[in-house]
Amino acid sequence: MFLDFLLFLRTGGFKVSMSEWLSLIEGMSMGLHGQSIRGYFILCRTLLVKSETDLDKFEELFYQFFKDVTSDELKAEFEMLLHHPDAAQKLFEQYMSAADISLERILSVTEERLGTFEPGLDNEMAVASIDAPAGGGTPGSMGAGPGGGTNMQGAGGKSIIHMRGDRKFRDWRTDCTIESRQFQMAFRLLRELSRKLDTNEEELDIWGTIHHTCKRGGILDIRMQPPRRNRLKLLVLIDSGGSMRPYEELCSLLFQSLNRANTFSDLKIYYFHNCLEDHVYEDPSIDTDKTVQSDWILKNISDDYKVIFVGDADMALHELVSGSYSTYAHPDGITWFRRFREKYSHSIWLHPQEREENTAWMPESFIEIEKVFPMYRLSIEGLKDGMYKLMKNN
Amino acid sequence: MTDSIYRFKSADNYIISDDLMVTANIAIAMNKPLLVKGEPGTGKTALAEAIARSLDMDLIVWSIKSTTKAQDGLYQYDVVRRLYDSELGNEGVEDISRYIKLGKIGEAFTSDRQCVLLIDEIDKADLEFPNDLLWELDRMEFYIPETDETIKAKNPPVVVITSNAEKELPDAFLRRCAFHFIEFPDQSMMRDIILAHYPDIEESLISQVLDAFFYVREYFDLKKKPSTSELLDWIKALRLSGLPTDSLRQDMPLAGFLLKKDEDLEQFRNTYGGLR
Repeated sequence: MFLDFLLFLRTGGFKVSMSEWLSLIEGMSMGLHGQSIRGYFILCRTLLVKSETDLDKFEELFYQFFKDVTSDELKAEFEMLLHHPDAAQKLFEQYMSAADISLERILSVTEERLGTFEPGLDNEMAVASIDAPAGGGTPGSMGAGPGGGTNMQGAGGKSIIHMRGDRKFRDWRTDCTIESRQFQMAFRLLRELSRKLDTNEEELDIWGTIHHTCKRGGILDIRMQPPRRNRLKLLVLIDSGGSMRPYEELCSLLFQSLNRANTFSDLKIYYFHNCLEDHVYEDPSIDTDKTVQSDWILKNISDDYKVIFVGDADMALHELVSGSYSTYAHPDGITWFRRFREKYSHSIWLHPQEREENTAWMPESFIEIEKVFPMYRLSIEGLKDGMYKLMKNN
Repeated sequence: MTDSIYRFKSADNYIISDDLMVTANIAIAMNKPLLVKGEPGTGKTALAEAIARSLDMDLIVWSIKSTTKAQDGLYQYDVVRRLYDSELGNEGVEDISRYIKLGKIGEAFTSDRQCVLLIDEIDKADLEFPNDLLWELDRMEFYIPETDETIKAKNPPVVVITSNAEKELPDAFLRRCAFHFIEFPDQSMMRDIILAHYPDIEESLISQVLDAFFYVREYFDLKKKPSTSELLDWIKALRLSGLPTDSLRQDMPLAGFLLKKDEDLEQFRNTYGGLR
C-alpha cells in the first residue's frame, strides 16, 4: 500500500527520489508519524515536499490516495487475519519478537481499537494507527510500544479532511502567478562567467600573487587578473500592440525584470508588431520614427547573442507567409523568423497565453512558428525551461 | 512515546503551530537539516532560538550575506597573516594550524555539547552556495587540506536553515532537508502570540489591534504585507505612545510601524488622508 503511494505520487508528477522515500520509511520505523494519519501526513510532507509551490499538489495527491481508505476495508482485512492465524503470525512476527507479546494480544488490541472509532472522520485515524505500521512492511515499523496506548490523534487532533480540502497553498503554485522577482531569478540562469572580457578592470589575483611571491623567495610579486563577469549577451524581441494588449502587464513585468537583472554584458530590446518585418521598433509604442532595420540587426548583432522572442504568435497567415499587409514587403514574416533562427542558434519563443491541449485549437501561425522556434510559455516554469534551453549547446 | 520522540516543545514566548512542532521534531529525530520557509517576519529565525532554549542547547547563528561563501562557514586560512609572519621571521610559521580559524559550522562541529546551528537566510548567498555545503551537512564532517585534518562533528548539531524564497535552492540540497512552510498565523494564533509577548496586555487592545491588523493585510494591495514582528512592534509603540486605541481601524495611528515601504505608506495616506 505504501509503495503504491510512492508510485501514485510519481505518476501524479510529484518527484520523489529513492533517498527521500527511504528516509520516509526510516522516519516511520522511528515512529515519527505518531500513529495517526495526520502525523503521517506531516511526516510525508516534511520529507517529501521541498517547496511551497508543491504543497498544493502534494495535499491533493495525498487526499486522492487516502480518501478511499476506510475502516470497513480494514475491518474486512482484519477479519481475514482472524480467520487465518498463520497469515497474521507472519505479518506481526517481527513486531512480536521485538515487543515480546503474543499474537492473541495484538489481535485483541487491534480489534479493540478498530471498534472504538465511530464511522466518519475518526475512521481515518483508526486507519492510520493500525495500518501504517503493518502496511509499511518494514521490519520493526510498529513504532508504538505494546498496546500502542499513545494514539497521538494527529497534531492537535484536527481532522485531516478539513486540512486537505482547504488547499491553502494554491496561491503558491508556479504555473500561474509570476512576479518580477521570480522572473529575475529565472534570468539569473543565463550566466556564462568568464574572465575573458574586453575590459580594463583588474582585480588582485591573490593566489597568483602568493604563488609568484613564493617562487621569488618571499619578495612580493603582485599579480592582477580581470574579474569574472557574465559575458552573456541577450537580444529580446517583443510583440507589441494588437493581440498582445491583454498581456501588456506581463510584458512590462518581463521588461522590468530584464532591466533590473542587470547581469548581462549586453542587453538589446526591440519590438515588433504582430509579425517580424523588414524593420523593428525601438520602443513599445511602435513609433514609425524610431525603427531599426531587421537586416541591420542580422548583420551587426553577432551570433553569440541569445535571442528571446516574446509574443502570442497569433497573426494572420497572410502576414506570415506573403508579406505584411501594411508594407507588402518581401521577404515575408516566416522568412524573417527563419533568418533569425539560422543566425542565432540559441533562440527561443515565449508565448504568454495558455497552450491548448490540442494544438489544433491554437492559431495556425502559432503552429508554423513552433516549427521554427522552440516555444515556451511565459510562466515561471516555462521561462526557466526556456532559459535552460538557451544555455544548452544547440 | 510522545515524550521520547518529540523532544522539542514550544517555548514560553514562541507560539508554534502543531504542524511545525511535529515537523521540527521529525527533523531533530532524523538528524536532517530543517529548512524553514515563509513570509518574512513569521518567526523563522525565532524557531531556532526556541529549539535551542527548549532543548537547552547553545545556539550558533550563521547569518548569510550575498558575499558569503560556503568555505567561510567551515574554516578560513589566514594566509596573509602567515605571509607577514614569515617575512618578519615570527615564530610558529611552520605550524599551519595556527592560521586556521574555524567558521560557524566548524564551531558547531567541534562543540563539546550538542548545539543548534542556524543558517539564516541561505537564499541570500550565491545560487551555488547550498550545493557547496551538501557533503558537510550530510556527513557532518569536512576536510582541511592545509593541515590534512578532518573535522568530524562530535555531537551532530541540530541544523535549522531559513530561506525567504528569494532564490530557488538546488534539488540535491532540498532532498537532504526536512521542509516546512510557515503559514501566516490566523487570528486566534496571533492572539496567542501577542499574549506570549505581552502577557499583561488589555483584552480590548488585543481585539482592536487584531481587527485593524487583519483588515490592513486583507484589504490593501500592499507591496510588503505587515507580519507578526511588525505587529508586535506596533503594539509596543501603541502602548508607549498612549494614543487612544478604541477605534484603531478608523484611526490607524503610527502606521509606519506596520508598513515599511514608501509606496505602501503612500497608498495608506491616500486612503486615510492627513499625516500619520
